[in-house]
Amino acid sequence: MLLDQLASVLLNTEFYVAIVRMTTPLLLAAMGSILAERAGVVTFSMEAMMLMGTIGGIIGSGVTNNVWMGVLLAMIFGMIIGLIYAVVAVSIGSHQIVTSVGLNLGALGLSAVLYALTFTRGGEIIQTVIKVPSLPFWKVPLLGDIPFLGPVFFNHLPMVYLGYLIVPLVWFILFKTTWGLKVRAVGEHPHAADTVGISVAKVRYAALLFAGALNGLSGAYISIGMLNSYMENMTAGRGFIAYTAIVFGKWQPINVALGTLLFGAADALQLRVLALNIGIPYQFLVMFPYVVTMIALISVVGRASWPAASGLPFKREEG
Amino acid sequence: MKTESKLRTIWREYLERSFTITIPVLAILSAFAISGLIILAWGSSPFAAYGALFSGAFGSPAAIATTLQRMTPLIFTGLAVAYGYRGGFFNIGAEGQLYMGAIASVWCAITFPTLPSIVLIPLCVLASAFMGMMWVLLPAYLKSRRGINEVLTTLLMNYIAIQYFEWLVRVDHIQEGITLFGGEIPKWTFINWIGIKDATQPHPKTALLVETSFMPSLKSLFEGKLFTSLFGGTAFYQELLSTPAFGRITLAPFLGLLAVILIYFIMFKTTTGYRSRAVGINPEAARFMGINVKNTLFTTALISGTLAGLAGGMEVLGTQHRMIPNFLVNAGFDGIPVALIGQLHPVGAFLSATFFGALRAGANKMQVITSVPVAVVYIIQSLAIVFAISGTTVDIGSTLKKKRIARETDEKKKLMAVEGEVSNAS
Amino acid sequence: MTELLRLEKIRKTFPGVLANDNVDLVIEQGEIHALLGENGAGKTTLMNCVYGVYRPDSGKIIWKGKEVTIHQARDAIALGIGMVHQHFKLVPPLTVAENVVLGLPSKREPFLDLVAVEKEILETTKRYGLDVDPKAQIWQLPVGVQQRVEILKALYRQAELLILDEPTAVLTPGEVEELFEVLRSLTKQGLSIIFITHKLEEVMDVCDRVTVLRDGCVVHTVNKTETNTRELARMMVGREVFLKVDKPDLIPGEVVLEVQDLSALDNRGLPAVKNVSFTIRRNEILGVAGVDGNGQTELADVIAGMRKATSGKVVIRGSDVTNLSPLDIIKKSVAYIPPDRQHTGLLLDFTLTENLIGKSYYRPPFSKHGVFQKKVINEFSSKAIRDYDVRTPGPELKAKLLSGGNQQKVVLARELSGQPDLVIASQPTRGLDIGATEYVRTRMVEARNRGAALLLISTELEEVLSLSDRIAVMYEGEIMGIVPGKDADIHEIGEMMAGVRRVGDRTANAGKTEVVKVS
Repeated sequence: MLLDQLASVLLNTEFYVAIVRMTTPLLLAAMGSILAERAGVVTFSMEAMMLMGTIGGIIGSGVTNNVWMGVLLAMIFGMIIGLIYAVVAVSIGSHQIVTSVGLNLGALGLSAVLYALTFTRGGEIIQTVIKVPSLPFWKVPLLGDIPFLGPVFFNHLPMVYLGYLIVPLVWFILFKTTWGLKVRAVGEHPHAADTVGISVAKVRYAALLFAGALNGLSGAYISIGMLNSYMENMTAGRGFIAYTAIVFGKWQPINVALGTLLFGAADALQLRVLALNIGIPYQFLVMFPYVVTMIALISVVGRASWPAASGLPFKREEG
Repeated sequence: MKTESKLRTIWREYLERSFTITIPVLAILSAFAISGLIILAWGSSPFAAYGALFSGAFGSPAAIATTLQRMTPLIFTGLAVAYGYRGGFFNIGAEGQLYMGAIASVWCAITFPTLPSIVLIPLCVLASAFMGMMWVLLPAYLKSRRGINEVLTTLLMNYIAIQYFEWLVRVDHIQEGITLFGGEIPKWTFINWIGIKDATQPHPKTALLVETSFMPSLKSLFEGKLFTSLFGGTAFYQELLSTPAFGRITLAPFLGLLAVILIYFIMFKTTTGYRSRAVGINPEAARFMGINVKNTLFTTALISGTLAGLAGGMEVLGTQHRMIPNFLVNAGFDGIPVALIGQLHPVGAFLSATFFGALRAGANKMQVITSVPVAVVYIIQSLAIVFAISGTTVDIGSTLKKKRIARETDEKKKLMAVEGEVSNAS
Repeated sequence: MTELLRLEKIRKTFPGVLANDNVDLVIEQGEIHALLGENGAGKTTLMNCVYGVYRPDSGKIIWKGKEVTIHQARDAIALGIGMVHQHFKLVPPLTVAENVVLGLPSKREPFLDLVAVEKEILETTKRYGLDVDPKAQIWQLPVGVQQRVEILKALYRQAELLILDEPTAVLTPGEVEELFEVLRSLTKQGLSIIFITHKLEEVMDVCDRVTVLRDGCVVHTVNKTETNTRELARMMVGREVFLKVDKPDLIPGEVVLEVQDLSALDNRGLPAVKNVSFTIRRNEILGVAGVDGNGQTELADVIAGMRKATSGKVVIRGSDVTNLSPLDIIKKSVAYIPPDRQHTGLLLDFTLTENLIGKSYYRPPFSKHGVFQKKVINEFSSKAIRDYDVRTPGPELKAKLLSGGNQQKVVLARELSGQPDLVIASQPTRGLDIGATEYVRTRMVEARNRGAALLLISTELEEVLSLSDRIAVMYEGEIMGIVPGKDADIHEIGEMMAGVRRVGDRTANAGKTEVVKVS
């Protein structure tokens, strides 16, 4: 009985479509932040960047009536948070997690205020503006028609395809470019990087702006794509989940991608189980990836995998 | 010369002390100022908005009652974060510990409804404290023995706790006299752990707890024998009784105040707090003083978790008297800004919990009167924490000291130069 | 030979300290030039001025005949100066090739071109006899190889002058030999090398010329062939005038500390203390002389319980305390003045009172059942501040706001006010001005006169000589000899510090025959 129901979930194409759909925002966010994390900045502020992305998407799209302007504005909003975070955490050198907690709270408020500013007048929703254009589905020609694989992988919002590309791209930037080398050096041993003439602050700023752009994009995917609506705090902690995935994947792009897949799959499974009213408490499915991460942390990740300079502000000794 | 340098040292110390108060005050004022600009952009008057905010927080007994309700869990989570942070354990997991604490309280109240208040309330409070402590046990162990970053482990424990709660609140609490496993289960067993949901309700929420578990309120005090015999028939007394706000002002915030005093005492007046702070400042130096760093870290974490657990108990017993999903959003996370704006001092945490509680309490009135959205208070809180932490980082006290050293070196150099000239001349 | 680098009248001061003064130095092409001197002689500071880590207050740096200003390491690298610091500036998880090209533009910007780089590195390593695998990650490599990577890094950046800061300090004897081979082959290719060291035999082994620094000034520059270790040791130690400390003759009492065949590892897991044995009696100061990093700090840590002994025994007043916890050892009436008051000696964010009770807070009368007795503590604190002449406006001041001398007085008050039987003092006067130094020394002698046994570890030879009843000299984790403090031959001690002489325990029988109890 239970097995039959489970099988009906697992054999359903919709389930796999949902996995891809639920993984994408986590993947974009985690891939964006992995560079900043590697450069030694704790990206606990991902939630803030994503939230600003959700509101940026809806405003840009709604005001210009062009969904791509929404995507652009989402990235800009995300980058603004990245910049503020860089000023406070990199230049001033404030405690990164505390700063992040502050920014997350601020983004929660600011996104709600911006929404109200744009779409309401005196507490009334302006109906004309709320009809916001949303992202189109792009069906890949030919590939999209393959049974099973087609709908699962090749009939999605544009960001999903970006998600496919972003993993090798980030991997390539990190390991095959001079800038990626700088990023890794700055996160592991900023003093060594400094002595060979690398500006630690510049690298960290750039990485945080990159993180802001991709997290913003992820936010836009949620608001003007996946859910095609807006509500307060609509990322619902996905920023933290993506952060957890980075740790789970030990800061390796491919492992991190698998981490986001784990969380995405748990999310998708939860939805299906809920819909089919199967007797498994779905909360345990949601809980599952966290438990797995905890176990991974205890058994494999440990202390050694952390970028050595993670969370530490850099100060030159004497110049 | 000697007195001058002595005076200077006193002046420096005075500056440093005053800066610990000045920084959060300045941070809060700047936060209000910048948020004022947003309110202006909104098209409202910041003064009107802040006026409404203030009156919504302190303007009437009802407002004060709401502020007290809002600040109570924040006092506890603020203390939890402050105590942990001071001792080198950054407890991000107050949220999860709070949930577990609340669950424990609710379970106790549901399971032992016949106990008299005098037994039931302390039992529920202790249960919340205990579960809060249990929920930090694993991160505490991992941090102190294995050096695993507590930020991540406590964060993960949050999600596990919240999902556990989400499940628990959807499973019926087993009632007396129900048959299970082929037999009638006794009045209470360990099996009662399953579920806290009110079986008669379609929605996920727990039963309203028995009244004997409610934190005593001012109203119940007024209704007590003492007040009745003293003021019996006076109009003043009737007015007191008819003010509903007094029914909402309970013992909980006063227990919060007690916790502030207790934590202040532990932090500064006991060897436990001394060791804890020493480890938080510099574990290596603490080790050189003979302090067992691992055990100290462990104890610190447990105390922090206990406080966060109490926050959940206080909310359930003092305010909500039941649990529903999202029953207390973010009070655990808010403990972090509360603690840091409060400069990691128990009294500071109390004051900034008051600030946070008042903002949340007054926000609705601000929205009703000036139509400025509630969300503005998040921005105020956010700016306050970012300014406060940056101000503390820049560390004006030490900057002043550095300047002094630089000046003295300059004087020395000048002196050397003069000596040089003299020796050249001769 | 042509001149490569010339320093003229270099002067560098730090707040309150004159690090270098009036230094002239000429480096010629193709030579290995040793910069010899004790700890704190100003060798590293001088070279950091050349490498752009510090900026000299005055003086000229002339590179290939042209005056240059070097603001930061980047400028020095651009000129062709490379420096290998004592603490390597390598990124552990990166490969050798990645570390070598770090910060340099690639030929295929913005992409890395590691294959070509690896090839170039292999060529370079072949030319100079450096044996390095360019694909290996740094953390997997032994220290000696890591050092070669640092050299490689400099060579890859076209360095013509290579500054090595105490390069042998972290190496095994075998690795030292390999390093010397590399250095010789480098000079054959025309490179110049500045070799910072305090070890005489290395100077004689590998260098062409030697400049001896003392107290920040140049003592002399000589060709190696025109000098010998004895003369160099004399130049290095030099001064024979001491701060005089009045010290009555006392007959040592019962044995307080007995160390038997003690061995321990350093933080990197290498042997730091090797089979060390000695005893200290009441009314006696045993001074341990030696250049920094020869195992003295580790020795003190092991006795105080801060570091595990791998073998051997520590016996305090007859009871074996080997590898007990620090607190258990404190309870045996042992005081420990750690070498670094800022990081391990004091809690800078604690008040003076809180620091002063650091070793006694846990017991009555300071606390009862875990609760502090404010009155007792305040009385104790005021008294300690008075007794130890700590200059402060009040006991509630944070320790970080005090001057170094006053900070050390707080440490002394904390450690000595409990009248300990054994005092371990590691670098007790490091970085203090003359007044504070004298004060600390007087206090130590007072403790000795009162009946305590003192283990004094200092890299300041003069301090050891003026305070000690007996002097042990440590070199590479071993005790080279123990000699009576009175009329000790400074040159002999200097040679032992440099590892070129070993005398054994000359005081071995002195104490045993006259066991007299002094109360």
